[in-house]
Amino acid sequence: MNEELKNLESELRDLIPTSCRNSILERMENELADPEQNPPCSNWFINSYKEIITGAIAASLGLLAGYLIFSTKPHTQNIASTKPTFNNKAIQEIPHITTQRFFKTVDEGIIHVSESTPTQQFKYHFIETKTWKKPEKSITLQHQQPREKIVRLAVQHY
Amino acid sequence: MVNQALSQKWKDWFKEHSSRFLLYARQQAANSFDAEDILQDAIFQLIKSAKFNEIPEEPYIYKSIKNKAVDYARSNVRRLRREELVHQDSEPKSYWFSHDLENKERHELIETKLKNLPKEQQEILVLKIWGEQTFQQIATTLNISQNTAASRYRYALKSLQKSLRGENGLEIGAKR
Repeated sequence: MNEELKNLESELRDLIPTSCRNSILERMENELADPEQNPPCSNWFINSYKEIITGAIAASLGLLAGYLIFSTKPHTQNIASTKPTFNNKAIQEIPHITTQRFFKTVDEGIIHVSESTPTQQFKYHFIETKTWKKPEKSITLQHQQPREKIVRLAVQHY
Repeated sequence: MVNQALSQKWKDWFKEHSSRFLLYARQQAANSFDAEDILQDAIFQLIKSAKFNEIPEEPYIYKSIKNKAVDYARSNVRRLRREELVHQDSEPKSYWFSHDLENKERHELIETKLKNLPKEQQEILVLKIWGEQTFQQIATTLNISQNTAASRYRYALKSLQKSLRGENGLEIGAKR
């Protein structure tokens, strides 16, 4: 490296990065003072061989149950989106903000459903965002999900 | 679970090194607020991880920050684009470095030019100069070879030097 680059390097070393705001240090201290008891999700299944086996069996049973449920379900014409339902009442009670951002309409043309008037089908695409906030711990949980809604309009005969 | 002694160790360690990790997070993030969130999330994840009863090696920490920044950008890509447009007008100028009055102008110029370098070059300069990483450690952090790290560093320094020369109006054409 030539002399000029070395000078530039030492000039750069003179620059001192700005330090963290106190709020981050405080949050860090709070976190360390009150660490969560539960290990992170990424570790639970690698802790032991036994748990891997248990996890594999649980996953297989889940798949089997899913197959049995969905394979017997009759086909339905209702393909419009449905909102997710929360069985856990506690989750329902946590206040959250839901926003839907519409971004595209697709005209899918004329649809002929047997023995009924032809309809023109439109597909509306939007992003649904749910935001849960816990201001006292400055925690925000945001969940985004693409959604679509199908609308059919009866076509008039002339 | 983090015990008391380890907790104090983490605190002291974070106070000592936080500024350079924050600088790296700033280099990775779209704005200074996101950088702080990314740093916080990355460090909390390390603390909570049952794997680390000891403070991990620095390349691992830089890697965690980088991964968090990627996750963060991926999950908020639309929001980030929208906010970037707003931030361009509204965010107060956020400095990566503290500038003393004596050299303020020169340091601000260097910072501006550094921010204008391609991301890869910025990253390697930040890691080498302010992160005090060896080329071996940088290679581990960025998943590149040691030689690539070294040559990219030299190239970044040259680019910065060229850019600063251009600004000062010095030596442009002098070599031609």
